[in-house]
Amino acid sequence: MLDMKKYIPCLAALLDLCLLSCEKEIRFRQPLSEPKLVLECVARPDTALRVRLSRSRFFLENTDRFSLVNDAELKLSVNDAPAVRMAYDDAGWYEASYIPRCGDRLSLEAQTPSLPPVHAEETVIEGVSRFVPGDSVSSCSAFPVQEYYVYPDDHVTCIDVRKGNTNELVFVESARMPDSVAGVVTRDYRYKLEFVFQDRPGRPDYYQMSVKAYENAGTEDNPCFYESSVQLESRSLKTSNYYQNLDDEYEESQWWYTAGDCRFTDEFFDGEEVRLSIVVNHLCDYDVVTDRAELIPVSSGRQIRLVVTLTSLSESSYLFSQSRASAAEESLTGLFSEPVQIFSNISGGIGIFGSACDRYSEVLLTTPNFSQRTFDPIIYTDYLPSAENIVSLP
Amino acid sequence: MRHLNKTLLLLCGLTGLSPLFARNYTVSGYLRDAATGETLISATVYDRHSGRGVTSNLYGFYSLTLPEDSVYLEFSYLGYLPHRETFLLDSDRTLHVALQSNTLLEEVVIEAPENREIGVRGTQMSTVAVPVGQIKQLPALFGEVDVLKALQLLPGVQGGIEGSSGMYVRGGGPDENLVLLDGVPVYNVNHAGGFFSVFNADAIKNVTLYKGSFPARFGGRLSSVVDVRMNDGNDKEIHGNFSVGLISSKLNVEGPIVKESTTFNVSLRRTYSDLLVKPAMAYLAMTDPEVRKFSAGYYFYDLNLKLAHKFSDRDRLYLSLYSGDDAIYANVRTSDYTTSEEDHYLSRLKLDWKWGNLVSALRWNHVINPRLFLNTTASYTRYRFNMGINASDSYTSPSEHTEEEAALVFHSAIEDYTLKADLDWQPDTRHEIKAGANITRHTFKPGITALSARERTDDVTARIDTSYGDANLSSLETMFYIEDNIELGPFVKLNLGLHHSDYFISRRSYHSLQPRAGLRWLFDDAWSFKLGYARMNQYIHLLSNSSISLPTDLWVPVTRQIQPMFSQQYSGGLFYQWRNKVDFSLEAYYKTMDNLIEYKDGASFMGSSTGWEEKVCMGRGWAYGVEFLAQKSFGRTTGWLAYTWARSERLFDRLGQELNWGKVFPAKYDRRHDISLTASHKFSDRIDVSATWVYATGNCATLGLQEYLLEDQQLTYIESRNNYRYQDYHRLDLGINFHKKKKHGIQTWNLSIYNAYNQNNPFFVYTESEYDAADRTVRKKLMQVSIFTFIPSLNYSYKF
Repeated sequence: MLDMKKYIPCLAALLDLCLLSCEKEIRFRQPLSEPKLVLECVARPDTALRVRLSRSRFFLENTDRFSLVNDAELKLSVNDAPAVRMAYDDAGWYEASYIPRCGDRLSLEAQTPSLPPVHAEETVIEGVSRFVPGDSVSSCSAFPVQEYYVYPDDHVTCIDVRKGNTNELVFVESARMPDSVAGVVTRDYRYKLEFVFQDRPGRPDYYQMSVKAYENAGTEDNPCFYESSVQLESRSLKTSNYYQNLDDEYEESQWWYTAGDCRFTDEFFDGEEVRLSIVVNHLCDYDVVTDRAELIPVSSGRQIRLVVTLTSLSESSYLFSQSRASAAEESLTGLFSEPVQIFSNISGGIGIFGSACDRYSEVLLTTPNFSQRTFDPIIYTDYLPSAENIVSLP
Repeated sequence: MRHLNKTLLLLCGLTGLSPLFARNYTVSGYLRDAATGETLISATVYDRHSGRGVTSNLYGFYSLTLPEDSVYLEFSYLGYLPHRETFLLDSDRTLHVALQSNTLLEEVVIEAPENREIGVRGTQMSTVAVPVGQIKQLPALFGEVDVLKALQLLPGVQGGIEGSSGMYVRGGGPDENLVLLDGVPVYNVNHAGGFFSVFNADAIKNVTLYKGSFPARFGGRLSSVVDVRMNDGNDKEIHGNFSVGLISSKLNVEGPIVKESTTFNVSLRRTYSDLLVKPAMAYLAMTDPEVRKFSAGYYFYDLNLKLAHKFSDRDRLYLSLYSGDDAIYANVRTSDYTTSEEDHYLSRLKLDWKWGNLVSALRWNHVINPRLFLNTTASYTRYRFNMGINASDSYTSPSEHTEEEAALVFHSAIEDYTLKADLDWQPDTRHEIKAGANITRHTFKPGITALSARERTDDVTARIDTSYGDANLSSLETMFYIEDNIELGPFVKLNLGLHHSDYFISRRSYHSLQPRAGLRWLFDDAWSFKLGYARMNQYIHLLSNSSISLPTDLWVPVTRQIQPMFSQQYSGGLFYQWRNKVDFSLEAYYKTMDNLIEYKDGASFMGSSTGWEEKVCMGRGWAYGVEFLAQKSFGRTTGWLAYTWARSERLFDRLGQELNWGKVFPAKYDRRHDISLTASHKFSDRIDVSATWVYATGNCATLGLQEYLLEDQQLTYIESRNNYRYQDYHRLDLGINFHKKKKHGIQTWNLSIYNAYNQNNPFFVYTESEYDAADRTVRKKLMQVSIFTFIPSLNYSYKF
């Protein structure tokens, strides 16, 4: 035992070595990356041009604040004309009296005493000439894809009845609802809508689409609309022209939602009249169910205004928006993935000098009636809506 | 048969075969270990009179055609005493030779035999054979001898992250290596996230790595071929060994079923970390009143089995089998009496994950005639991943009873059925021809998820039962090859080959003709210069998001959008053998790779192949470098010094598929310098020591070096992909073996220390911010995480 004692320090030292912290602070050994001037500007036709300048910071700089740059000499040149100086407005923006017009070629140059000068160019983009609901909008349809049954004790049953070609997601419902069950029934509807716009020929065009829903929670006489962003499904955006150029595999779309806006190019329909078929989903609440024979929707007959925005983007704006959306997604899911490089077209600095032009179109829908249905096992085998769930349009 | 001969004669004619009808005779037979009967691969047969020689093939068969004359044949193999035969060759002759293992340690006694295929005299370059005995002597992480990690110590081969057995060969990716076990591809070569390979060194006879100048018989991957051959089994008597280590135990038994006719070799390995923690879990379950049952663990196992049967001197049959799995399991039951003894809550979680390979091959060797050897193989290989999760809760009170249960099962797999025929033919003294054909049916099962859920409240039940996922995909791959080793005089030897492959999938087909060429110019017995060229094609990709090997990594085939990858590699080198003891090589290579795929910024797979084509970009890459190797494989002191200077870059500039804004960026495992020094020294029959020191330029990573504000959100500016380099990597491993003769065998104690000087090598880095609420300041730090710092291990083995 005594002999063993002399080994104890050795063993302890060995154990210490094994258990040495595997984490340590290290020095950044590469050449330090210097701060850059950040320029932010989106030129929209008929909207006064505003530019914001700020200073980037080294990622290990001991601050969590960013500083705006208010002492820069910022010059704007339009169509190669002599540059004019933009003024700082104390609200963080540099402004010019100039109102952008479609096709104008803009050039920005900024200089500050402490940061390298930056330069950027952009051409003011023109919006599409026509963006209207398509002919088939009158027959647009809706059908239930999800139902939530809330039991009196707050148990929720979610029944998903969607089915895609690739992801054959077929849920068998066997909820047997007793007469005593009470709760809210929510239906998640998909609307297929069609819009038409004319793409410009002979050049690459970039688009962004977003949909907002305004639901009337008031009455017809005294409307009160709630605004909400509508989630577009990934690949929900389809055009008739698009399909002609893609093989069957592409059509095998998946049915997972993607948040935010949807961006696309005219790669497959340059110069054509494009029929956009978009699928949006919207939740509709129905009344408390007390008797399975009487399923009465409270929101039946309510109106929903869907406002669809089609934004023409310059190439820079498109690349910036795409990369920024990917970065946002990566920050949520990208534990093992490559970080996203966010696009910048600012020479000598960082940021975006882009251009965008919006066009709007809207449709008015009426919340469908909740139809009578049984609660025996049901297998939904087709994407197509059943006849009783067709949305009635005004 | 006549037709076959005619065809082969025609092919020979095409390759410029002139002395076809000279009066030549052939000596042929098998080369074996005298003690075990094990066939010897790449052993040398050399006629000192004519200066001609050959090496035995993968099955130990040799065939040497010589002019009618007296011959002085020398049979030699590394670690064996040479055997010499003198006779008058006036007819075809069958000569089976058994070589005695050399137990003498003095280098002066025996010169190291030359490997005539890859040494100074061979046409093959960019190829390294590492004796398994030497691999076993190297110090190893947790005492687990690892074949693939030993290969990482060779020039041109880089390991991935710390401790992993991933291989990056000459700037290629980890899925560009064709790893063959007895000629059958193994799809997942890793255990435990890549920290161990699936190859149990006890079961392995021979390992050869091809990095370039690929022989025409290989195809299907861009960057390397690792040819691993299993032991056939001792045909004299039963032998074996077992070993007990820190994390696993191994058992290997081999011997004759029918003496000198039918043999077996079986090896088992299993880790037991799960068994060791069982008592701790039982204690936890005992001491925590809420835990009713608690068992969880991880283990992997390997089973290697080989049966060999000799029907006659002309016919042999082999059955090879490998089965290995990784498994994670958990079974947790908890109960809780929440408010009173009448309110009872029960919860159960059950995990059952299993993934692994099954590889089997039935092989028939037939000596058609002394000059013609046929090998026919039917094989099956499969990698599959099964994941099961089952969770249930129940609540019981006097007034109600609820139950909830959810189960998720995920299954993905890839499997191949292959039929293959290979011919070795030596028509005359100047030609060694190999030809063959192969047909493989691949089935990709990208992943099916079955989901079921049940909820029951008193007499109300709701149930969901569904399954979804991608449909299975089948493809057919056919391959033909022919190669000829042509001796053009005493100095020049050529290896010319053609490899043709077709790939049929979803009503589409891809064809590829891949020329291969090698040239050796012999300056004298010690010096030679070699050139090589190879074009390779690859039809499958591995979808993986991480640097470690995850079971969710998926193999997927080419599609209409994703074209097959192909590469072209040019290499040249100088080879020198110093006093028949040390081999030196200095090689340079330039490799171009096209249709490479890289994941788009932010792309994530994690077990899903759905829509994978839109998550990847196609582009090209190139790699070039210089490799130096000094290898001593024989004597008391063995080892090698390897140095690599390399560069590997990528360019993804196709429209809509740009990465790094269409500019060149370094490949993920681009490293400028790589040095490996390994040495083993045998002091006596009782003690030997070994050491390995590695140094490498740090790995690349992508780091945003500037932060900025745009549209009121904080964004990170990444100037270019892989713009940051981790600090340089270096490590020293030490090992010592103590051997002792016992009554029935030899016992060995092995002590290994991995990372002996406790170097904190980077595993990954991240930033951390510390906020000081008092003075409202923030301090940001760059943190580095390291693993495997100073890992000692002890291993006991007994060979009987």
